[in-house]
Amino acid sequence: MSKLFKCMVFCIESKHYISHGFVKHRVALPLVVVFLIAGALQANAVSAVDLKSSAAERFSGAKAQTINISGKVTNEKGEPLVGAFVHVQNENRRALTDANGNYKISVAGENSVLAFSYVGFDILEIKVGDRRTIDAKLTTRNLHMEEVVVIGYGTETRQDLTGSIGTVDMDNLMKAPVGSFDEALAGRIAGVQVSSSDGQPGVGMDITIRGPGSLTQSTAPLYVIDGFPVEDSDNAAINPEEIESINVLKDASATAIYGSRGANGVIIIETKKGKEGKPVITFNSSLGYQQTQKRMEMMSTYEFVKYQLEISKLQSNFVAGSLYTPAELPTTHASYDPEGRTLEDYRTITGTDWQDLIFRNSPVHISNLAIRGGNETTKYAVSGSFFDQEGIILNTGARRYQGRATIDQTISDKLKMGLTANYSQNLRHGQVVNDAGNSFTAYVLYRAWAYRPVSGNPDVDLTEYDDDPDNTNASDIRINPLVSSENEYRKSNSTNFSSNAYVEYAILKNLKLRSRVAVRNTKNRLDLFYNSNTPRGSLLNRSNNQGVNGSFRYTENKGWSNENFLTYNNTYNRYHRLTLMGGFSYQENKSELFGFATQRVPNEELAIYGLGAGQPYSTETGGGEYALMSFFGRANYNFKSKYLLTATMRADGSSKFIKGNQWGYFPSAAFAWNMDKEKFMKAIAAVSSSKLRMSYGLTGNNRISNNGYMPNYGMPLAYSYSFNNGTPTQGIVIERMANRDLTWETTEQLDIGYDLGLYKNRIGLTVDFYNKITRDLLLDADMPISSGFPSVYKNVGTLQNRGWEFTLNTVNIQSESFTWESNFNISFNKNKVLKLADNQNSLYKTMRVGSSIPTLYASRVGYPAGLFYGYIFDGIYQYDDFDSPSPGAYILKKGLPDNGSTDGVQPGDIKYKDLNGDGTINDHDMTIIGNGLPTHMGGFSNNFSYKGLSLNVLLQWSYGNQIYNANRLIFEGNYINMFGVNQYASFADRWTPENPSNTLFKVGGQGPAGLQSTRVLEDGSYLRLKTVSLAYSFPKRLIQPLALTALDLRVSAQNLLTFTNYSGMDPEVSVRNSVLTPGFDYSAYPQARTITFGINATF
Amino acid sequence: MKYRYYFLFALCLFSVSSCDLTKEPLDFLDAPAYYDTAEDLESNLAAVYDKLGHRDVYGQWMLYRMGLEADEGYYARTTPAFGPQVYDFTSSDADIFRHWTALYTGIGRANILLANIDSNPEIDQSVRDRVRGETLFLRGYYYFLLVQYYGGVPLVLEPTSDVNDIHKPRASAPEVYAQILKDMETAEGLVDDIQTLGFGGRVNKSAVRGILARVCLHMAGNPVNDKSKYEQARFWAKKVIDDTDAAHALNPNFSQVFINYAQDIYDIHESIWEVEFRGHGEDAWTEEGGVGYVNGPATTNADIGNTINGVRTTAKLYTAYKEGDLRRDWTIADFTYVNATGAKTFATSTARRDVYTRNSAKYRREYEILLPKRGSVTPQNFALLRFSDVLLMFAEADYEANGGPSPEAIEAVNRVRRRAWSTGIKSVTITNGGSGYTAAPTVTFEGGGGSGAKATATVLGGQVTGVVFDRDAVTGHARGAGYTSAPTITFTGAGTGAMADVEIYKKEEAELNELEIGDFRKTIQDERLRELAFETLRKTDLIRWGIFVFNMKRVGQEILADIPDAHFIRQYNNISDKHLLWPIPATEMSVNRALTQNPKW
Repeated sequence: MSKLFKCMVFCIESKHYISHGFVKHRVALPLVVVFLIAGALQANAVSAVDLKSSAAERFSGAKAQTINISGKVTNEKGEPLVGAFVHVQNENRRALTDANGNYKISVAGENSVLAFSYVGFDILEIKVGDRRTIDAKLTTRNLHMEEVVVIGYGTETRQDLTGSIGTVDMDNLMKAPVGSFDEALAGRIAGVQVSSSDGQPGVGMDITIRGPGSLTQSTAPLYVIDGFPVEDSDNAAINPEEIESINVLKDASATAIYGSRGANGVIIIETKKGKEGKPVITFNSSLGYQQTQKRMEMMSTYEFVKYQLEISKLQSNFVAGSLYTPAELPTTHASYDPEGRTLEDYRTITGTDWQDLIFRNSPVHISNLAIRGGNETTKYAVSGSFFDQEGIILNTGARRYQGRATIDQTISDKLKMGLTANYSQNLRHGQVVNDAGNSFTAYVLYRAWAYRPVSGNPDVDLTEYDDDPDNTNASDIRINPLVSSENEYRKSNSTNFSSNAYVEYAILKNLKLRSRVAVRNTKNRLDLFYNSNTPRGSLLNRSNNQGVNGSFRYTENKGWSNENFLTYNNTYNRYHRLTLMGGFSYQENKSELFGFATQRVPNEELAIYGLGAGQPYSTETGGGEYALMSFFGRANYNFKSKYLLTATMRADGSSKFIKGNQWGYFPSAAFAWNMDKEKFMKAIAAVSSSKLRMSYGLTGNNRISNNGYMPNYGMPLAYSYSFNNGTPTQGIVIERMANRDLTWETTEQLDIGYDLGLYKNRIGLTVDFYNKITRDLLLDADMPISSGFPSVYKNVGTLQNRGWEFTLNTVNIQSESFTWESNFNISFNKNKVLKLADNQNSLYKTMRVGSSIPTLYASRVGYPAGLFYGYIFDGIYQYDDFDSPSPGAYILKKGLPDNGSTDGVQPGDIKYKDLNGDGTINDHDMTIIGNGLPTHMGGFSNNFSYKGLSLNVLLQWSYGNQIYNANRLIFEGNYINMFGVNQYASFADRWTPENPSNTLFKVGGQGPAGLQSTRVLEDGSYLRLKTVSLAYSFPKRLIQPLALTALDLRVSAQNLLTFTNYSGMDPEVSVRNSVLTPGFDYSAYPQARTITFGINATF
Repeated sequence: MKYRYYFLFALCLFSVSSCDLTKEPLDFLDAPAYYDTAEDLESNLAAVYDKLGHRDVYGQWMLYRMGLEADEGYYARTTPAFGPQVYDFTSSDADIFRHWTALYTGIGRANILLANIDSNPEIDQSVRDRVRGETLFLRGYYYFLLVQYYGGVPLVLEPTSDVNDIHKPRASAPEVYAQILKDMETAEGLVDDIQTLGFGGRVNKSAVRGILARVCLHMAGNPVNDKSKYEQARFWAKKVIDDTDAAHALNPNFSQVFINYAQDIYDIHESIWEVEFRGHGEDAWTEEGGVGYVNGPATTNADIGNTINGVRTTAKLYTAYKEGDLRRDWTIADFTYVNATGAKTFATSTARRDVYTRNSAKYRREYEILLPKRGSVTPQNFALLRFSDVLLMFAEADYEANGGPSPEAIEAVNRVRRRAWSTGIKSVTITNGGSGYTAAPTVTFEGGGGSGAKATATVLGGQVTGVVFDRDAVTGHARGAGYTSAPTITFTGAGTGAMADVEIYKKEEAELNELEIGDFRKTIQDERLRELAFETLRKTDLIRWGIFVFNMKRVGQEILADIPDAHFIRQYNNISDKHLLWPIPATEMSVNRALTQNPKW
C-alpha cells in the first residue's frame, strides 16, 4: 500500500509537467474542443479537411550540400541491420543500409540530426556535430507498447492509449477447455468479475466490470463484436477459437464512445480474418470428461435410521413411513415384531447413494476446423466448429454447431470491402437443475439428497420404485430422483445468424471513411414437457392441478444497424499527431414472442408432440421494437507519444423514451503522459516505460423496456372476474405505470492509472483507481401502494463503485530454452448505495426457501447493495440456560431471551441474538449479517515453456464474499421435520443430552420456521486452480514430412482444485444472481472439473 | 476531392434522417382504445372486481390467515409461526402488506376507470352509469375494508399520474367513512336491482343498501362513534327488508345456504352479495378460490375434496348454541374424515377441551358438484352479505337508535333464530321399558308431518332404557325435520312392550325470551356470533362494540382452564390494545413519508 501511496504522490508532483505540456502545445486544446463539437454536430466534420492544409508542406528542407557521413547500423548485439532507414531530419535526404549494415549520407551541416529507424527497433536520433562516421546501435523496440489495441471505432497502440483497457491474452485463454470464451475469462483481467450462477451446461456467465452499476437493471457489459454493439450477446454463439482478440474497455475515456450503453463497460471482440499467404488449415480437437469436484457426504443408513427414530419420538404416534425398527416398538404396538430389524442392524445395511445415480462422469468434445488464407487483394477465412458437452448431472447438456465465413477484398488502393457471416445453433437439453419454481422439494439436488437411502422394509429396494412407496402421500410427493431426472424433458434450441459487411474508402491519404451494416437474427425455441414421472406432471403431486403438461415458446430477436465514420489522421510539424474520428449510426431492434402451454395431455408417450391434444391453459404473445440513433466523435492529440489527449463525445437518441427525453450526451476526456519519454526518466535505466493516465467522462445505461414511458395496458387472464358463474370477463389493467419523465441513467467515472515497465518491460505494472458514480438510476422504484402501483421505473437513486486494480506482468525467467512468464491481477471494488428513491432508506428483497418467503437482503443507503439481512445465530440452548424445577422440566432462566418459538424453549434448541433486548426474537432482531460481494478478487497466471513443452497454470480467487447456503436449512436440521428426508452427514453430530453441540440443534430444535440467520451464512472465499494446460509442440523437423507446419498435443484441466472453507458443493454460486440478491445457494448445479486431451494441427 | 467527400457524407446523412425514433409498442395499444366500447368498460370493471377474489382478500387469506375469526375460532396450523393469525407480527408482516396491496390496487383500478369512463360519450349513458355505480361502490367497499383494519388511510380518488407525488398523508377515519358513504350512496342510484340481475355476484341495489347499513353501524361504533349513524343504518337495512320487488327472505334451511355456494346455485332471496369464484382449473381461467379448501373440515381425500382446515372452533362458539340450534353442527364439524375413504368418524366427546379440535365446517367441499375436484382450489362463492345479516343489523340499529328493543327489532332476530331452529325430535322418554329384549329393537318414527329421524334403542336387563339418535353430519344427530306434531315411536322385534313419548322442537322455543330481550345488545352480539361465524365479520364487529380485547383475553382464560398447554392459547394472550388496528405496512411507510403509524406499532 505504501508503494501505492508513493505513486499517488508522484502523480501529484507530476502536475507541473502536465501543465507544461499544455502550455507548450496550446494549439491542441482549441482543436480538441472544436472537434468535440464537430463530432457531435456531424455537419462540421468537413473542418477536418481544412485542417490538413497546414500539414501539406511538412518537408521543408534546406538545400545546401556540405558534409558526408558514413557508418554502420547494428542491433544491441552488434549484428548489422540490413535495410535500416537513415533520414536527415528537416532535410529531404534519406538512405538505406547495405548488406553489411553500412550506409552513406550527406547532410547540411553539423547541426543536422540523423534519425535511424528499423522495423521492430526504437528510432535513434543523433546530432552530427563534428563526427563524420556515425555508428548507430538500435535497441529492440518495446513490443508490448507497440501492441495494437482495438478500441471503439478504431485501434491504438498500447503506448498511445489514454484509457483503461484490459486485453485478454488469447493464447492463454484458449488453453482452457471450455465451449464459450466467457467461461475462461475469470481471473484474467483486473476489474472484470466473471461468475456463473451455477454450473449448468450452456448457461452464460455474469460479467460485471468495475462493480455493479445499476440496482434493478442489467449490469452486463456492452459487447462489440467486429465493430457492432450488441446489448444481449449470446456468448455461447461465438466460437472461442475464432476470436482474434478481446479487449475490455473499463474507464469512461474508453467507453464513452459507446455513450448510453457504455456504463457497464465494453467488451470488444474481434474475430479472426484471413491472412495473406498460402491457405493455412488448422484443425484442433479435444476430447475429455467432466466430473464433480465434490459431493455432499450424506448420513449413513445407521445415522439416518437413528435420526428417523428421533423424529418419530417427536410425534405422538408412529407414521408408517418411519417404521424402520419394529423390534424397538413398545410391545403393545400393532407393528411390534420381535424378529424385526433393530437400529444396530442398520450399521451393516448399505443404502442407496442417490448422488451416485444422479452424478456422472460425462464427456465433452470440442472440434474446430478452419481454412484461412489469401493474397494481396483477397483474404478469406472459413471455419466451423462442433462442441458437445454432456453435463455431470443426468439429463443435462449443451451442444453447438457453428460456422463462419469471412472475406476481405481490396478493390483499389482506396477501396476495400469485406463480409462476414456467422451461423450457430446452440442446443441446451435436459433438466434445469436450479429451476423448479416455488416448491423447494422439486429441485433436482434436493430430490437426490433428500431421498432416503433405505426403506424399513427389507423387501423394498427403493431404486426399483418410481416413487417412494411409504412416503408418497397426498401432501408429499417423492419421486425417485433417478426416474424424475430421466423424465424431465426440456430443450432449448437457439439459432443465431449474424452478418456484417463493410466498405472502407480512403478519400484522402489520411482520411478514411468506413461504413458498415450488420444484421443479427436470434431465434429460440423452448420445449418443456412434464410427464407423469416428473414432480410437475405427476398426479401424485397434490399441488399439481395440471396433470401431464407442457409448453412451447418461440422468441425471435432481429436487428440491423448501420455505422458510418470518418477517420482523419495527420501529423503536424513531425510531433503533433492528430486523429479525428466522427460518425453516426442507426440501429433497430425488434423482438417477438409466441407461446402456448397445455395441461392434462392425454398421450404422454408423444411428449412434446402430444401437446396439441391437451387443454390449453396459457397462451402468450408479445413484441416490441426500439431504435437508437447516435452521433459520435473523438479527437486524439499526440505529442511525440509523450503527451496524449483524447476527447470523445457521443449523442444517443433512443426510442425508449418520450420525445424530449430521447437524447443523451456522453462526453469524456483523458490525458496520458508517457513520462519515460522525458529526459529525467530516460536517465533511469531500469524504467522502460512509465505512463500516467487520467480520464473522466459520462456514460449511460439504457437497459429498460421498449416503451417504459407509456402506460402498459394488458388483459392477462388472471385479472378476470366471472359473473353468474359464466365465462369470466377479461379485465383490462395497467400492468405498469407510465412515467413520461423517464430518461437516461448516467454514470460518471474518474480513472487515474499508472503503467510502469521495468527492465525492458520484463516487469509491467498497471495500477488503476476509479470512482464511478451512477446517478438517475433507472430504478424499478417502489411506489406507495396507495398510488395503485407497486413500483415504477424512475430516474432516482445514486450508486457508487470505487476501487483499485493492480496488474503485474513479469517475465521471471527468459533463457533460450526455458521461459517463465506470469500475470498477477487483483482488484478491489467497494459498492455503496448513495441514494434510493425519494428518501427511501432501504430496499428489501425476499428469498423463498421452502414455503416461507422471508426477507434476506437489504440494500441501504450508505452500504453496499444486496447485503444479507436476518438474524444472528447464537448457538444452542444448553442445560445451563435453564432452571429445572423437576426432573425433565426445564424453564429458561430469567433474563435469557427465548427464540420466538411458539412452544417455548428447551435445551438443544436453536438460539438467536436478541438485539433489542426485549426477551424474544422477532423481526426487530433482524440486522445486516453479511455481504455477497467480494472485497477482492483476481487471478494469477503462469506460463512455463521448455523447448516444445509449455505449461499454463491459472489460479483464480474471490475473497471476502459470503454465501447463504440454503441447502443447510433442510439438510442440516430439516427445519420442517419431514419424515424420510436424509441429511448431510454433519447433522449426525447434532445436539443430544450427551453431545451438547453448540452449532447443531437437536432434532426438532429448529425454533420458529422461516428465520434466516447467520447459521447457514458462510465464507464464500475461494482460491481455485482454474486452468492447467500442458502442451507439447512437435519439432518442425519431425512434422514437416507429414505436411504439417505445427502439431501440438495438449492436456487441459478446468477447475482442477478449489481451496475454500465453504461447505457446499462449490463456492462459485449465486443461483438468484442480481445486484440485490447475490450469493444464494440452493440446489445449485456444481461447477464441473473438466479434463481434456487435445490435438492442434496446422497444415 | 472535397466534393466527393461532401457527397458521401450527405448520402449517409440522408440514410439516417429517414430513420426516426418513434416506436409504438407492438403488444398493447394507447390508452383510449381501452375505453372505447361498452365491452371495454365491462372489462375494466371486471378488473376492479378481480381484487375481491384475489388470494390476499377473499380468495384465501381473509378466510383463515388474518385472524378475522377472533373469538369464534383459532388458527389451526402451526406455520407460519408469526403473523396476524396469531397476533404476533410487526409492521413488516407480509400478509398485512399484501392485503393492503390488493385493496389499493383495486382502488387504483377503480380510479382509472372512473377517470376514463366517459372518454367515449357514444357509449350508452345507462351502461356508463351502471358501470360507474358498481365501480364507485367497489372503491367504497375497498376503502371500507381498509378503514376497518388499518384506520384512516390516504384517500386517493384520482389515478396517480405523477410518479413523484408519493407523500400522501392519512385521512382520518371519519373522512374515509364520509367518502365511503358518498361513493356508495351515489352507487345506490346507479346500479341494477337484484331481481333484474338474477344472481348475487354483481353489485346490486340490495347489496349497496345492506353494505351501507354495515358501514353505518361501523361508523356508529368504535372508533368513530358517530351515534347518529345508527338511524341511518336502520334506514338502509329496512330498505332491504321492505323491498318487496327484491323479495328478500331467509332460506328455510340454514345448511342449504352454504350447500348452494358449493353447488354454484344462487339464492338471491338470502344471498345478496357474493364474491364469485368459478371453475376448477380445467381451463385457462384462474377464477377459482379457496373457500372450503382453507376453511372446510380437513381431509386429503380427493373425492371429498382436499382441505387444509386453517380454522378450528373455540369452546366459546360451540357453547354459544343451544341444543336444537341447527347452526352449531353445520358451522362446526361434529366429525372428521377418514382420509383414505372419505368416511366420517363422528366426535363422541363434547367436553370443552375436546371441542377445540373441531373444524370450522360452513364450507364443505363434499357438496361440490363440479368434477373433478382440484387439490387446492374450489368453485365455491363466498357470501359478503346475507339477508340474515341485514335482519340482525336492522335489529341492532333499531335498538341503538331507539334506545330499546322494538317489536320490529325483536321479530327480526326471531326470524333469524326460527330459521335455524330444529323441526326434529327433541326427546324421547321411555314410558314402558317392555320386557324380554335380547337385543336392541328397531326404532321407527311415524307421523307428525316430518321425516328423517333415526335412532337406536338401548337395552339393559331385557328392557329398553332409551334411544340414541344416529349421528348426522349436518344436524349432529338424525332427529329428523319437518315435524309439526309429535310422531309416534314404535319398537319392533327382539322383545315386547316398550313404549315411549316423543317431544319435538317447537319454533317458539327459538324466540327471544324476556331475559334476552332485556339484554338486547348482548343478545345481538351473540346472535351475530352464532349466525355469521367464519364469515370474516367477527373481529371488526367486536372492535366496533368495543369488546375485542376483553373478549379475546376472556377466551384465552377459558383455553387456559380447558387445555392449559394448548399452543393456540398464544393467539389470545398476545392480544393488546394495539391489535384494534393493523399497522400501516412498513414498506409503505418507507416510501410514503407523510404516513404516520398506528399507536404502539
